[in-house]
Amino acid sequence: MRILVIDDYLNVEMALRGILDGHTVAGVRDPAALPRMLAYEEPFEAAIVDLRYVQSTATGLTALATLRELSPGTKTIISTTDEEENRLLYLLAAFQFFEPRALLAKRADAFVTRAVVEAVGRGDPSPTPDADPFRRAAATRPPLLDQLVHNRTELGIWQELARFDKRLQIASAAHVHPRTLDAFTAAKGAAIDVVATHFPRPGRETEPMTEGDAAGPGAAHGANLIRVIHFARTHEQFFADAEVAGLLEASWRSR
Amino acid sequence: MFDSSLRTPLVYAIAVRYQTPLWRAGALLRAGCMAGFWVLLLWFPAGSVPQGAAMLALGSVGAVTAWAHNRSSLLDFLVDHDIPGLSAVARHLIGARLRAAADLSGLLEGFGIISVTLLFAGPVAVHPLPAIVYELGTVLIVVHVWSAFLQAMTDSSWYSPDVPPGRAVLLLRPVMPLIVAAILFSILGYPIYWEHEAVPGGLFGVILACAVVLLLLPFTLVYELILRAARDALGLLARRYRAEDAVTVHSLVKNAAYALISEVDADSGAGAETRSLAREMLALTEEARLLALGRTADLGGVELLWHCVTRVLPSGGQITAELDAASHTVQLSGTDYQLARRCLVDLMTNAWKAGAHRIEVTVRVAEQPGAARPQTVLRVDDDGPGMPPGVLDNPATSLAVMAEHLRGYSGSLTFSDRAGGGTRACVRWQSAW
Repeated sequence: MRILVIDDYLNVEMALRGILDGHTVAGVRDPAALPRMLAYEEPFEAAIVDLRYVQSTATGLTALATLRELSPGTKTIISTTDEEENRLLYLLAAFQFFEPRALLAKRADAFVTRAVVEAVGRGDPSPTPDADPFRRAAATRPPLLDQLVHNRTELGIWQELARFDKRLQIASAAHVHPRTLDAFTAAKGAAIDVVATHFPRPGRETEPMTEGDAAGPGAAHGANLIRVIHFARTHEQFFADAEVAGLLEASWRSR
Repeated sequence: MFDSSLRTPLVYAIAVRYQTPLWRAGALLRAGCMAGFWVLLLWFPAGSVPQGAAMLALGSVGAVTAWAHNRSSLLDFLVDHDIPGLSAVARHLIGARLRAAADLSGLLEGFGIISVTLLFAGPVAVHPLPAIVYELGTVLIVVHVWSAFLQAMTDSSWYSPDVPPGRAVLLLRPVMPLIVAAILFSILGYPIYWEHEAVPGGLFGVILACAVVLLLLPFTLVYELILRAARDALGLLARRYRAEDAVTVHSLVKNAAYALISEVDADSGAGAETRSLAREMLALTEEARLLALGRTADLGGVELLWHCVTRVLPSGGQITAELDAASHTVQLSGTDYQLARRCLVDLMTNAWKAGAHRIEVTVRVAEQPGAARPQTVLRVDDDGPGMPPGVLDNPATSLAVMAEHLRGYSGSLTFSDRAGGGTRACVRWQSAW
């Protein structure tokens, strides 16, 4: 089987070469280089895709979109570190907009890694349940990501929530009325609760707010706003990602 | 002034923070001015009230429109309910928020205040007016003009990096106070120059009113200087934070890397791959430190690579390492950069541990005749005692592990003796992505 590793850290690819002994492993460090590589290389049966890349604006979503377009026969496996909470929305998007066959934690041992890759290569279900919560979240109606971002205006509000910390400033920068912002924060507070229910993490509820997160309850006008600002800042790169905006807008158009 | 380099997310964020309270207060202030004009109508000659009301109408509609501009729920309501005329106006006002443009509320307020000014002076002005009414009217006109054009001159959309203002409005901005002052002078000065009449305050009063309007220009200049100062100060602060982060990386991760290397070296059971990865941690830590300091643009360059890999050698002059001049400018792909880092760390560490005092390194990317991909070539020369025979045949050595990795990239590792003593290690592989 020919396996493509899309990961910015070469040692991941080297380790996978050892683990997947007997298979052909090739790699690329940046999804932006993927089209050139796919034009040069023989087709791959499976691809292991990292979600985030150091010093690249491209993400795993870029890689998944490129593979879908240029190599539709390649089965994809998302590889990520599950410690980083800011990857959660990227994972939700990956499972909502693409059809990755499995989710592989980077700290998975060699035995699990080989079992997952070979099962996916054969077309069998992944032997690990890691992807199940994300598949369920994508299958809910409306999908979990849609509950968080329902239209272009909401995406704009999320972006401004990460940049400003006062109600009037956020409303002004997002070009909405402060009462629209209040309704948004109430609705999204509920959506964040749904996310927390789907993906419980120890300590998530007790994460301390730093001084920079909001200028205090008086400035932020309500607990909802503080929570939503905190969520927006955790996922700032996701909400500002042009690839994400393109995928969301395509999904809104198809509704 | 009006520096396009101020169009950055940071400056835009500051401008929005400045503008948010100003917009509402400004709309309220101008509405108050319009209310003041209506009150002053009480002291107008009885027959001129209908004319006065007609000339105040445009500015009053402008004040209402400016108020509506800040009421998104009202605009949304008008758009949703498809009310003839009003829905189109609401759509226009919503769209006009996104960029610096002459929008309807601005035009209504602008022409409205001209109409109001013409009520007090100029060819259709109402005569006679009590001096105090004229003076109060002039003060309200100047306050209204100042508020409206202060907002126009310092609007956050001038600094929007996403939706930059159009060329025409950019050209208009610096001359806007001049145009407004000229219009004001031509109206307020009309009775003095055309009708040769005395007005309360005289020519001095007219010049003072216009000069106050002209102050918008230095005010905007000061505003932009403050924006620039804030941008530069925050830039410095960001650099300081980066430096602190770099120190954190250094003290936390590099010390941990040294501890790891020490343990791995002491552990006879540790494999060659483990030892190699542990040593690479030092180069990686230095790379992370430099990236934290903002050297991201250098990533992929041999210059940065060289700086990082030399961290694995001890300081203190026991050993010197030199990169040939032409290699400094070589740029590598992501995979080649990391493969070169791994190889150089291993080869340089081996040379040092074998007793070499001088290491010379060359990095090249060479086109291969007939091959679709070029070849990356590393040459590491040292003055050490030489490589023991069969070192690549022993799978327990880090060099044998490296040779195995290189085969995966159609590459090879070879050693040869140098003429003057020492070893030349030559690593080559087909350049990867």
